[in-house]
Amino acid sequence: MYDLIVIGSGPGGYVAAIRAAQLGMKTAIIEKYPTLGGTCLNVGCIPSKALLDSSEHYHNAAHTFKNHGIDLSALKVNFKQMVTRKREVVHQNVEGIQYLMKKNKIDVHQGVGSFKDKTTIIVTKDDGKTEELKAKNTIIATGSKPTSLPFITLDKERVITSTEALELKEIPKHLVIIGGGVIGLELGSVYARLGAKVSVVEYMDGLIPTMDKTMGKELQKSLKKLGFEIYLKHKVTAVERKGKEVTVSAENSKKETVKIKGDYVLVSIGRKPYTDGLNAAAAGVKINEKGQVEVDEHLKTSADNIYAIGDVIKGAMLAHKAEEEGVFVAETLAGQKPHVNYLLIPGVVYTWPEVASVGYTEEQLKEKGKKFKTGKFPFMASGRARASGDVDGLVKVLADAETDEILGVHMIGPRTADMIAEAVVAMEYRASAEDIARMSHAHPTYTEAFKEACLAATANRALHT
Amino acid sequence: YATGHASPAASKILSEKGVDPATVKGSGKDGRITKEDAEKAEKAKP
Repeated sequence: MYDLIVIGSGPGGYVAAIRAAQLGMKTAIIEKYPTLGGTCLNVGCIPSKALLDSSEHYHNAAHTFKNHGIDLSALKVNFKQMVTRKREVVHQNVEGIQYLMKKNKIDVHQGVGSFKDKTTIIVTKDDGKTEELKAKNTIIATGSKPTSLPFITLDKERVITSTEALELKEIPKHLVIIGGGVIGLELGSVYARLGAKVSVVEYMDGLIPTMDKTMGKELQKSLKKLGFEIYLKHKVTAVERKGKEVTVSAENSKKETVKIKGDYVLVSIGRKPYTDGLNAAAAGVKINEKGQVEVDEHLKTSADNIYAIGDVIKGAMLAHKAEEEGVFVAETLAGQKPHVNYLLIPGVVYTWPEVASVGYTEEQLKEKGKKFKTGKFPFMASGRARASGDVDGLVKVLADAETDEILGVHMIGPRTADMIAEAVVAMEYRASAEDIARMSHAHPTYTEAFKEACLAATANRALHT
Repeated sequence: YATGHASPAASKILSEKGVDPATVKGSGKDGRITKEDAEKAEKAKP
């Protein structure tokens, strides 16, 4: 009998297992794939960042080295090596998780976990053999899968999802991306830098539509410089493949049909919660109409000894959101009273410039009728950014009009994926814009842009604009 | 506005003790409740 069984070994699942083991619980984890780490490590965050980093190096070598005084001749992409290196990075990370499981004495069971009842889980291995495990408590951390449109046939060759886009045999000549969200734009950036023509078809009126509107607009400018062709307010109506050619048909706002021909189509319209084979009903676990496992404020399902975390429940589908929830449930099971502040979970897009954001967007504040001040600072005015040549983007700070408390921070620019951490800490301690403006920021650094934006928000008194 | 605002660690300690942050005097900047304040805090006697 285990104290805790975790189904799923993604960032939520394995972190929950580690935290539970730290708290003295006898813990096991069940994973159907041969490697641990889930989507993030195997076909998500880690491999996409590896390719984003490699492709950005190439792009710099091809376009900015000359300006820096570095002359190269016969520069070319060894795409096979790029993918090989990406696999090695994934492998190292996966091994790392294996090591952590061993170190924390967590039993790893490979196979599909499905409920027999509230406390019994059947693990079905690849060879069909089954094993029954007993647990006092269970955490469902089965994650998500890419979603598609009903009329699209994913052939995994030329009509693909993010998973296949990380394992292509060649650089596409013309990649057509359906969906202008994070995944599509990151993978689009990879191939645009490597020389592909990239077209994005988005249904909404802006890119990365869940973020502050300023971010989508700025990102669009940067991606256009990279050669992106962007079709906003276009509704995809058909995807056809003939041999090596794919055609995406879309209807624009004037109801005219636009046809875009390419050699690969990436469908990145979102992800859906994954509970196939879990047999949740046998344990009395309710799944809602969106396919999410229903949970209460303690992340407990409709069965009182079963919890759920990560992409399979409501909320932002982010690796660090799942991790926080994993720790939250493990500590809750140990009798502690932890708390997750969902407003302060940052969101990051790993394009270049990077986009990062925390707190409320301008649109959300307007909707709430909250009076706020806006402070902006462009990287064009940053000495550090001019030195490196990364002058695209800005930092935007939203602060309460009366108290000056920071309500939201939105950044697009160099290294904002890391810079956002300062804003998270600031907001966690309910800092005012003036608080940040009065703290020393090393010079020259990109983070000075955050300080300047805070100065601008305080009383429009930025020093360098 | 910072008065009575517990830091993330302080907030967890207070909920485990069942102490209402409003009853704790924060020693941090502008009255913020620090981890140390939370550790010292005791449930108000009825």
